[in-house]
Amino acid sequence: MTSMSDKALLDVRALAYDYHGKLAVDHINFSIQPGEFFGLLGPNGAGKSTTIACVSGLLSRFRGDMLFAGRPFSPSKNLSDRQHIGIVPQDLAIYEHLTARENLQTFGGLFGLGGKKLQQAIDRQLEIAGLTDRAKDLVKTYSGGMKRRLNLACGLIHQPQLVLLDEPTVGVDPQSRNHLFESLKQIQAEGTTILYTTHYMEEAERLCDRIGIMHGGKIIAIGSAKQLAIESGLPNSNLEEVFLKLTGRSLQDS
Amino acid sequence: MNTLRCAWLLAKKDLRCYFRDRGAMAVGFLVPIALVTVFGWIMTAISGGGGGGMPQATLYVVDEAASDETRAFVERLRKSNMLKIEPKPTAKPLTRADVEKKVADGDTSHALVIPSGFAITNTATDAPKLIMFRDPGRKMEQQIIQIGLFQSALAESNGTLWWNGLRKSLVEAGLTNEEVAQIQVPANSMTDLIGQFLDTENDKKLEASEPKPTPDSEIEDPMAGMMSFMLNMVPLDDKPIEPPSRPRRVTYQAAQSVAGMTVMSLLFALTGCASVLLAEREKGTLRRLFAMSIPRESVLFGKLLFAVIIGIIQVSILFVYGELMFKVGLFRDPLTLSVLVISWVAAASSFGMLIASASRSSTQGDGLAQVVILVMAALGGCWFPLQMMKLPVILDIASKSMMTYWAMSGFQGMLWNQLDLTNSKMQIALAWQWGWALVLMSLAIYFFRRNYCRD
Repeated sequence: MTSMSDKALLDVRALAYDYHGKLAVDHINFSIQPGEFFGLLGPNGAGKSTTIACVSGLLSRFRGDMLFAGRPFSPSKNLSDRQHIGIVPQDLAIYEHLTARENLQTFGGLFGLGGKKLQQAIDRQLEIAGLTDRAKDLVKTYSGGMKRRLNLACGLIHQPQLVLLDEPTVGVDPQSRNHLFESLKQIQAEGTTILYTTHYMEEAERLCDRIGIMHGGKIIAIGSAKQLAIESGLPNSNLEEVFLKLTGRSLQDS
Repeated sequence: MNTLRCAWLLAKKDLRCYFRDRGAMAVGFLVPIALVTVFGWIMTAISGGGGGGMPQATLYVVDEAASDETRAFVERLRKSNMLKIEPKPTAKPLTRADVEKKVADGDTSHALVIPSGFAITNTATDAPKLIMFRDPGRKMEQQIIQIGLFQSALAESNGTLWWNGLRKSLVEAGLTNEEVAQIQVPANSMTDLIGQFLDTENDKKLEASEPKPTPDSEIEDPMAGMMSFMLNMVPLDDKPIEPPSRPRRVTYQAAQSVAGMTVMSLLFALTGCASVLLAEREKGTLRRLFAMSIPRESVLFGKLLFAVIIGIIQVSILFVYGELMFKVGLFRDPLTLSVLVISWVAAASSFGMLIASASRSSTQGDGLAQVVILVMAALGGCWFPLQMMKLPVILDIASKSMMTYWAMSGFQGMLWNQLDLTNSKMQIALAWQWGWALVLMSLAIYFFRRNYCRD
């Protein structure tokens, strides 16, 4: 019999990270299955972004182990491990004086893509982001929503197996948010695994197959929205009420 | 992917961004061109209007005597290249009170009054004297005006002025009239000699009898007459040393301006290029780059490569402009010029990388860079020739250890002294610049690892 973590794409074991003597991430365990949309839900300061930074290789002084498709995974030390990951930061990490095509060309090139393969990848991402018609315009002329979509496309240009999205909807208008959600669902449908952090419970409920609720650097519960509600003894409640029951605080208060 | 390829991809991206950012382009190219132009003009103007000689000072003159002799004297003053005589002949004459007020109000530093009854050759003790209203704090103008006035008076008196002064001194020293008369005989021949050197009409005759100079050597030196006179009085064998390849139209001031402004503006521009690193950190793009499968150092090298490329483009444009504008003979020795440019671009880029990697924010980086660059530029001799400054020992040592000093030494060596790479002075200048480049880049890598590569 194989356990859930045996076939996981990403398996995180006892991950801990000290920040100025304080445990920002406190020995957390979670695994994400291939093609799964996994969410980390928690208030600001819960440790979500630190977790993403450890998984993406941005931070290196963490304790614990990570496995990727069953193999040891250390993106902070092995650059080749990062090839499997695409990161979509909260900030608009794109270049305003370049066109969308040039942005994708730059990031694709840095991931080692070139020639026809790169051009195909660019065309595909432009199509998913709905930016084909504006591909040759400078990004500074784009609307906020278009920039968000390009920000996502740049993280997907090398077709990573796992995409890390760190609160990608902060400050995004509802229309652009919906477009982003549709894009994410589309890439998930194509087999990409997603690790998504948010402090908006409706996003987590709407998008995620499973959710890990983070509080004070710990994951205090993991499961689907329905499972979490049942396990917390509030079968007819939403995630906000579940969070309140588990932590004694609301998401906004924490 | 290897570090070099990553660095090139990142530099290419930065170049694209740079050339689309009109503000950055303006700061990077137009400001240095404006600086070279303005400083070139200023330096040329304050040093004698292109002849590379003495600077000019303004002198207001009131001719109360209004005799033929004093009018001729004023005309002689007007002909002096060192004096700018006001008011113009066509303007309304001023009174003594007018010019006294002008000096008091700071409208001018010096004003000369030629009183009624004044005659330049009248040495009687009760004869009217010239009156000079002056601001005692304006020493530089005072010295220029004294030389111009002496030269003009000597010329106008046809050389007799010096004998009159000498005779007065001899009498005051106790010599009898007979003894003075005996000395006057040889003195008269000296007077003739002085007259020959200072008489402009005579000069014209001499010029007419000599072969015509080539156009390049038609540089007027306002001190030439004075120098000839002095050289005949002092036992001195004058041996001018000038590189034969130096274009005759090049002035030290123009060469100084082109070199100085290039050195300084390149420092500003390349520090600006390097600060893209800080901007990327603040904007969040650096986080994305660091999460990619590329070595982090490649980001630093990408910025360095970007700065070096911009530096070479900028300096090429500046030099072409400087050559067209001031004809300083920049492209006489392309090899020396290329090595000097690459060396200075390497040192200046490394300085920019250090500022960017050591600073916590772009505000801090910009502030720090401005202060350090301005100090280095001033002490390195980018603004004014260091020979004009009387620096305290400690600042003199500091100046000679600045990388700007050695960059200026290299460029001035090539432009003014026409030195090439085989000259030891040039080799030392290059060695200092590469030394600085290595030290600064090593520090930049250290700070980059400390500030960007640690959690």
